[in-house]
Amino acid sequence: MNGPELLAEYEDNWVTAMGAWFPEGRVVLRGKDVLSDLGHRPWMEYLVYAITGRESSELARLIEGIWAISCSYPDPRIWNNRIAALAGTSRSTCVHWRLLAA
Amino acid sequence: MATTPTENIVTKIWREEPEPDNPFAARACHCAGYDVYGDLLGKITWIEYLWLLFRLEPPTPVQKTLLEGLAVGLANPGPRDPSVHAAMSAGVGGSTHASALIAALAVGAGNLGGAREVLSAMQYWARCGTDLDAWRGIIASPPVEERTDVWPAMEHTPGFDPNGASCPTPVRQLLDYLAHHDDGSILPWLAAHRETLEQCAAAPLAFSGVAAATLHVLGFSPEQGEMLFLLLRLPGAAAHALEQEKSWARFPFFGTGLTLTDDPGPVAPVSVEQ
Repeated sequence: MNGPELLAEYEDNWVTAMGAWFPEGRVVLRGKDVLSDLGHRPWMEYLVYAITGRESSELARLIEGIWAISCSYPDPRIWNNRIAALAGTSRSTCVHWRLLAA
Repeated sequence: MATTPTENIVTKIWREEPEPDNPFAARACHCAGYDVYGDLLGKITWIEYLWLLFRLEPPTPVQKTLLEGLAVGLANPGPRDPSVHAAMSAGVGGSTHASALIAALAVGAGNLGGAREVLSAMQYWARCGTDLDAWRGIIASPPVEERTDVWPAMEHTPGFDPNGASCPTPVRQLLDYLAHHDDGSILPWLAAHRETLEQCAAAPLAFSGVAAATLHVLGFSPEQGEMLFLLLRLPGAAAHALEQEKSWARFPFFGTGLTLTDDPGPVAPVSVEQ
């Protein structure tokens, strides 16, 4: 099946194992209840699990270490930092600064 | 099994008719009732189509002239403008082209020379119009946002440049052109009272102020004006970002231009625990 028939198959429904929000008060991520099973985890462990499905505090610490020593040089002359600094200069929102600093 | 009712997109702007062999492809696209590809294409300018999308009716010749003039005036703020410089930084750094435009949008969105300033200035125009005393009052006692917002508070009179000296020639040239073609009284009033307003604001009129006045004259809401200001300044950002991809070594880095005021000096490496 392809073309319009394939599109029609998915036009108004979404089949996914990644996660969902339920109006009655549940949130599921990769088969786990976010509010009861995942809420106690550090943010990076949660992120690693969301992206890879792996439950690994070691991997989370490794990524945090890489991030700390290689991705957060604060010099405003460096081009990506300069963009975030310019957002500050032009009095844009903190939401914009955070996106740009990534 | 109960069937779920079909959910539809509700819009006054757009209507599509499906192709006979594919309901997901449009045979005809109507914008505000006009057949875009079957009728408008070749007959209207890009500016007229932009107007139609926002206003759902064609512009008058004067409205078209004013928006066209403003669009030319705003298209390239120049490489020293923060939004364009942000896009150039993305280009120099080898980021994606989408990143360059996103950088220009985010930096050009702000309260100082950006689109949020245009929104605030348009709110001033809605309150004050051509009442000079009202302008004096609002500049002396600017409105304070009652609710907490993501935006920092305005630190200067919107539409005026707190870092300026006299009103730059291009700003005056754009205002003069638009005032000359305005068939109403507002832009001529601004041109006539510019220096008085600048004295009240203790700052010269800026491009954001001309844009806000023009967009107000044209009947756009402040929210529409904010969006259009973001949109109309992107061409220059895109062109400058692409140009800088070719010459990163010549882009200013200000190698000796940084003074660090909180520096512990060289420290011995810390051994990592196993």
